[in-house]
Amino acid sequence: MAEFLFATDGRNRAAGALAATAASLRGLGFSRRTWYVSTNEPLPSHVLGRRITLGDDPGAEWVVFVAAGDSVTRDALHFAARAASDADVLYGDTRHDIKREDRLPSYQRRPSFSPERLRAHDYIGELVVARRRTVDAAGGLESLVDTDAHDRNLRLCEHARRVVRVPEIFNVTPSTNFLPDANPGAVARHLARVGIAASVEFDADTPRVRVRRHLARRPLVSVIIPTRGSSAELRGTTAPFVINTVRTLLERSTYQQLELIIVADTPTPSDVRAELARLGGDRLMIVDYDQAFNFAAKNNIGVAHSSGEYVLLLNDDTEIITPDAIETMLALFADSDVGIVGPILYFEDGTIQSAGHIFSPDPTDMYRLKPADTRGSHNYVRVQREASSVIAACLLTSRKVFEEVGGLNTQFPGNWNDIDFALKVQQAGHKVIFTPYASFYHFESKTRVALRIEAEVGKLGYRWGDILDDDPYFNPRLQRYINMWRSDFHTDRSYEEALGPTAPISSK
Amino acid sequence: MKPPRDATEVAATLERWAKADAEAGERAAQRRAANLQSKGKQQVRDYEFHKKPNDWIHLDWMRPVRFVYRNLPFGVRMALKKRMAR
Repeated sequence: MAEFLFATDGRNRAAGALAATAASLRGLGFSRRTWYVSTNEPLPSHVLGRRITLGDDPGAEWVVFVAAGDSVTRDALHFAARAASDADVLYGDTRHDIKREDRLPSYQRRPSFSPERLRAHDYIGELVVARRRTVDAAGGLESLVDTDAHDRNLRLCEHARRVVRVPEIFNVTPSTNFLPDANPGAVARHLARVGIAASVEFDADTPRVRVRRHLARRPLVSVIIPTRGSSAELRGTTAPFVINTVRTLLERSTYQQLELIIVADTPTPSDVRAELARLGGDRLMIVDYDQAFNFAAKNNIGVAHSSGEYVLLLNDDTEIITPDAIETMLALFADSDVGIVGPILYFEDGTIQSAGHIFSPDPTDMYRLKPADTRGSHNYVRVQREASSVIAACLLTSRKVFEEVGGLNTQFPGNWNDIDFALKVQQAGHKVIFTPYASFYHFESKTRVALRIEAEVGKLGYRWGDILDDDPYFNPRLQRYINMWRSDFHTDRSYEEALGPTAPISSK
Repeated sequence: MKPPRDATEVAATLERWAKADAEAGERAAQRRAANLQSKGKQQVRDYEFHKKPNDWIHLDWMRPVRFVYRNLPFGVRMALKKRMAR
């Protein structure tokens, strides 16, 4: 049995809270319990009770950081004791054991390790289990106990070879605060330590930290816009979507190192072509496409004709909202492991069209149809974070990555080419980042019904079925296909809390 | 306006990408097959999304059963879980 040392910041905490934690340690069912408590004054003897030794234990293999008042579950110790040798930090889910009117507890279900999200807020929470050597490398026990959880988790994760999420309850807390905390000072120090050139902005209301990376250079971005030149009513006027997309991009975007590649179906009206040529001038190219509709093929052809170092796939029914959207997305590529960045998309009426995808297991646009001010469960919509996939209606990637994975798969002419692309990119070792700090309108029909073709489901599943069944940036406890053994009795509610009404992704 | 690239050059690029995509897909399929195999499963039919949620566990009369399950000894609970998750 692995040896555990428990560590708690007991400064300025009520004796009752420490007694509750001590009681949970006594109930863990093994003989040796050493508890390191940072206190201003000696602990009253009734707090400790029997079978707990106060102090440090340098020989312990694992350190369990637990907040005063919280209880540790056996699961936390069980999974740590059986962790792989390179797993240096583990965290799990939290149960909030509070007395609500309906007498049901609430849960915090966490995704797999998401370092970009950890910079935005402390989604890992108070309870974390770390190897002693990692604790020592991260500044030592005393230093980590005395600091706040966000700082501690950032430091631990910097020194961990692998950070593991276990979708089991690791701690039970009486806290009524469901929102992850954020410490901008800790994030700034973390950025300095890991060498990310960025400034830090703190939104105390959410709370969240925005890591605004510095854009060191301004490379050429090729914007690929497949179109048929269709017109539709937009804000009371009927006009070709693609002209609005190009005009607003050129007028509003503060990033103008752009090359515009319009992949136009043969029936695209000549007046639309002429207006596009006038708007784009010598930065615009029109490539004719005379084959059957294939969103993936049209984008691939557009990229093949382009020359930019980065590629922005953009639907012809979109419109830029935040003027610095391209800079925001581009700056994220300063991290060499970033492969795709996607913004938040809104419908014309301001409701959310997509805040990234989850696989549940069918790919789903997060928070679709929710109001623009939706924060999401645990401020999920408001933070920059890793995602398993983002919608290709607006997606920035590098040419190198696009070529490495072979572009979009033309066997998915309408649906899921973006899912397949994002998963290929991750398989190649790159990350997909969703950012709420870049936003676009996507004038897709709100009532559009996805045309699901079973053969395409089979093709997608043949490659990625295991990931669809267990999205790493979701939580298996919140999966739609709940049953007794993969969920708990509260899951249905938590799913609603987490996502609200969702809809399957329709074709582009 | 910029002129489009040479069609032959574009066709060669697309062909190269199609090959890279096929290779990436093959790697993905192999990884998935290995994953299934490690769980003692094999793909016997095309992948399908899971059907409607099975919500019987949330029925009121199941509450005592859930209570008993949650309070089973850890090892028994995990063994049951593993068996039923197959």
